Amino acid sequence: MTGSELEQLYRDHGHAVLRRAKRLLRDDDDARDIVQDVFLDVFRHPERFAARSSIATYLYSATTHACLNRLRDGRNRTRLVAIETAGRSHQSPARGETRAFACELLAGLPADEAALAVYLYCDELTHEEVAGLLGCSRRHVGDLASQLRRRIMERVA
Amino acid sequence: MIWIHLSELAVDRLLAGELAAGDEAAMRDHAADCARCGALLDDALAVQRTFVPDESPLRFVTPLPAPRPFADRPPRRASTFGVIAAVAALAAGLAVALTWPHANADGSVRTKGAAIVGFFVEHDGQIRRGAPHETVMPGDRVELFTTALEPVWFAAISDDARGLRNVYVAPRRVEPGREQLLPVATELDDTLGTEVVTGVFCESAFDAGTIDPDAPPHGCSVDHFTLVKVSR
Repeated sequence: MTGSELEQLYRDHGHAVLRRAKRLLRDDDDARDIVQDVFLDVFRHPERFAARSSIATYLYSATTHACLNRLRDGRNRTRLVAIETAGRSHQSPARGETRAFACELLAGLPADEAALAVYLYCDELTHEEVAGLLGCSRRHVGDLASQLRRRIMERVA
Repeated sequence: MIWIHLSELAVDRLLAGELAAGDEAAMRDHAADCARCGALLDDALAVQRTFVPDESPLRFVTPLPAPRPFADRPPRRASTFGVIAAVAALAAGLAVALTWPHANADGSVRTKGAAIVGFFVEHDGQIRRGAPHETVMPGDRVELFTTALEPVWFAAISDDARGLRNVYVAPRRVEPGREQLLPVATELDDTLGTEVVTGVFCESAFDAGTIDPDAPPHGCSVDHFTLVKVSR
């Protein structure tokens, strides 16, 4: 990737990365740091993108992971989901419980599962969208979601 | 595609122009009738409109990776620093950078194809060319440039006064030419003392984490410069 390509990518998609990071981190300065990290990472490791998904999808995933890495502190991760949960009065009680459990669990999840929990419970993405983010089939996403749900239930039990 | 509610990802893809025309129209129709999704889309559009790319990514500071212990290599010999300083002087001058062969400071001949790393220092908004044993301060930015006759893979690694190594520039391909400025800069941390920056040039891609600057593998050459970091 050349410098001018990076510049163009930043101009075209920087706003989306910034918005995503602000939403997850709730901190403007941290979000701007994430924007830098994400675009520098693309610049340094263009092979990670490698056109396996759309660039918007890739940046969404990369930003999520970058934010979760920033939120290594479990309490912060919990805060992330708690914030996301608040104000969503439209959700059913059962769904609300699942969210709350995911909130508790998020702190202890490995990075990939934490990202999956965010996609499913915070972002409410469809399995098709998650499949695009993870680069796998919808069926596999279903399996991963079931595993995650089981883990949540085991934790609750 | 059926849109139940718009996800943030879907909005990103919409604004990026990645959706099929039918999907995009369906999304916009849905957003027009759904307060939640309408607000989500409006918010995204507002951020897009107001986003000011005020800082070029080419000026982004490279965050240093977590330092790893410098346990695998013996301490640099004192005599090495004389060589380093002289080579750095050569790099800083670059008077005959593209006229090979010429002599290295240690008396050896730099063969055709050898390459040079040099640097600029940005201190409080002022940029200056780096010199041998350049005095720098925490927070200064160092920008590297290379001079090479052929396309080559380049990385810069740094050994600081604590004996910790950082990768300033991960391996990347650089084009031939004189003083090719690299599009990343490094902000210096607060570790004071002498820091040796080694530019590694190889014919093919390599792993900066495993290479030994004192014994570069076949097909690689190295060049050094020294920074002397003092407190502000």
